[in-house]
Amino acid sequence: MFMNIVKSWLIPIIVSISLFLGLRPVFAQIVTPESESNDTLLVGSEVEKNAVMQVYYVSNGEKHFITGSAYANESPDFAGDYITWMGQAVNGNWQVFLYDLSSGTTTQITSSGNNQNPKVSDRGEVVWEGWFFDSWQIFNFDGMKITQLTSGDTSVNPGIEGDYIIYARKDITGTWRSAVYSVSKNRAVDVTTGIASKYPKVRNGKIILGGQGSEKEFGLNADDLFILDLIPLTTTESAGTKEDQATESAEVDNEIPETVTEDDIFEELNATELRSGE
Amino acid sequence: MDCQIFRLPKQCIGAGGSGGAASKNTSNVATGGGGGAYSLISNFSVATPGTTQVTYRIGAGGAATSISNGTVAGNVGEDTWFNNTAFPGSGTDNIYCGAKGGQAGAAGALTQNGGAGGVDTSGWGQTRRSGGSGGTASHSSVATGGGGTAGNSSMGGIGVSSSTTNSATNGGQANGSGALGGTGGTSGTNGGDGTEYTTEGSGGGGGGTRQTVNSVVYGGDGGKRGGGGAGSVNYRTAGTPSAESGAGYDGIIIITYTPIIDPTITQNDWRMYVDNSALDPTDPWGSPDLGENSPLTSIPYANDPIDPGDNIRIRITMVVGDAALSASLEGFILQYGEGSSCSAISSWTDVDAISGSGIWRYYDNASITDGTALSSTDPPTAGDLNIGVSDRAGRYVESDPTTTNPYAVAVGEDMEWDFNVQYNGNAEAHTYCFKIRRDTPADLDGYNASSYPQVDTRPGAGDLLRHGNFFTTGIERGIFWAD
Repeated sequence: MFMNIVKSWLIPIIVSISLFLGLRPVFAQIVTPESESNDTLLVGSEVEKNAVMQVYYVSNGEKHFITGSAYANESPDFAGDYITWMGQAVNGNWQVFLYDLSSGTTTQITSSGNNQNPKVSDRGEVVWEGWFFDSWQIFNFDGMKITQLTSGDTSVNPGIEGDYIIYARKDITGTWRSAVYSVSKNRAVDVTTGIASKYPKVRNGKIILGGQGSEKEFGLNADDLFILDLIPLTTTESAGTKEDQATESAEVDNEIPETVTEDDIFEELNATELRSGE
Repeated sequence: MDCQIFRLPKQCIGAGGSGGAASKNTSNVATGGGGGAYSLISNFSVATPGTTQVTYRIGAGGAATSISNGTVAGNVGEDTWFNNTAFPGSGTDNIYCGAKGGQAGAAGALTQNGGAGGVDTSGWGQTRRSGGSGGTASHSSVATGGGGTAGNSSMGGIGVSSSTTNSATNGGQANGSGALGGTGGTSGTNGGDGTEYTTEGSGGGGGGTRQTVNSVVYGGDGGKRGGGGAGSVNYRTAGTPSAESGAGYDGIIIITYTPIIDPTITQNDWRMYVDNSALDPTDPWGSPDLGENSPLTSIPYANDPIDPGDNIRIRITMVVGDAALSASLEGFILQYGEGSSCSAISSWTDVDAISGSGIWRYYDNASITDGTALSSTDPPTAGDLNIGVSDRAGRYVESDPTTTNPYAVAVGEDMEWDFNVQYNGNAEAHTYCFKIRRDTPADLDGYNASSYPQVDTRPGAGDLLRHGNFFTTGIERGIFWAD
């Protein structure tokens, strides 16, 4: 009797869960990463209930507040059906929240420490900066669990799109470098260095560095994260930034091996040390 | 901040003089007029953009002259100037722009010199060049070209001189080597006009002419802009010959403006420290240490909320966007407001002076000099700055407006400042937020949600244990465990 239950129920269930967990990231790359259902969604925060800042979204011209707590809720970001924000939920410290438009449910992702600057993907995965061992580190919520992606050097300004998470790190010499992390591959590589790396973005499948008058765009494809061509695809600039760009381009050129393999990349570019679990 | 909204390089070019004319005589000559001078000024600014008016004048080219029997000199080209009611004279700064016109060409018995070009040193500008003179005529029946105008890199070319009888010469090139002067006319043809030189906005002088026709013969006009006109000779002695010189071309003012993109400044990260009487505070407030952007709340008790008379060091960063912030450009003012949702606070007050009576005032630490840069080097020495995102040093502050930023800050960089403030009030269980303003005064361009330093003052007995809970500023906080 017991063996029948194991064969008929437990084994299929375990196999199904394993397949789901294993293949989910692969499926995620096949599915179009951009949700078009809420491209026109607006999110914001303003003084509302309890005379503190509250988060809202606007749909079909109608404003819907999704917070109403006694503490402030601010800095909303959205993608697809998901809105994330931070609220001063624990002794004035900021915590990260996630709202699912399709179900109308709110999830408080963090409940301790200080967490800020959350960004969400259209898969409902959230990245943010968390204060950990006296520095900011990058954390990721994949819908089920929280993973600490960085340790050591200050790591800030995360962004997420599809399978990719991008952020900036500052080493002990004060040099900023941007790094991109693949959720499915569970690995990260540096993109380039320089002050333009401090505010990296991943947008429409490309890495954008700089911004505010000076941007460089780097290619980023699902299949070749670790054979990145680090030469900018395009560069736009404005007055006052040419010198920086020239310097950074030179640095990038020097980092590219002539024959590039995945092993070469990881020898040349120190892979970001990863640490799982909060 | 200065009030300049545009960078305005201005180029002023004087008008060209016209050439002389000679007719019905085989021995007379006519020479070309001089080209206009060139002046350049940069970074011109006005007191009140959008309101302040300036006066300018664009010099008219010397009008052509004509004669049927005899000789007549040309006309001078007028001066060109900007930002004055009359030609400003001679100067080398960017208050005015002024460029002299070319002189008139001559006509008469040989030898005749060409009209002199506008003289550089007689004009006003940070760069000044002389116009080219008309060519010299040193033999009978010679008509010479006009002078070219000056350009940014060189004086105007001189009209070609001639000592060969019955000859006509080319005009001088603009800018010395730019647009060509007009071609000297051959027998039976008029002189060519000087060509336009679009890059520098100047033109070569017109070519001279010499003809023996029983009608009007023309010298070439000066090139656009400011070229000297050519001389014209018609040495037919019978009938009704006539000669008309080339006109000088009008001057021009060229204004090139580049909108100045002001840097944006956004309040970013912060941390509170115990004042250790040193430039670098090493002990973050609270036990365990409060982290960056972590409010000093009255819960837990180990945070050590603020008591009356406490002073606290607040290090705050500001990130620069859009354009680099030059050194010594911005000073700041620190303000405080009351409330637990800092972004929602609508009433802010400047932190008072050291001896002031304000609820929050600056604290005088005799061991540290107000305005000291947080690092003596740029980029800063490792360890001088304490906030994780900091890139450049600001100053230690005990008064406002602060001394301006000590170092330039590039786009995307954070500068770190250190404010030493003291709680001079006695309200219990109140929450205060701080923000930085420009010293103009005006708010910064942005405040990140977690960028407001936030402190609670220590709750009093009246705030403790109401129905088992602790309240402050209307918010249930939990239990405050007093020792």
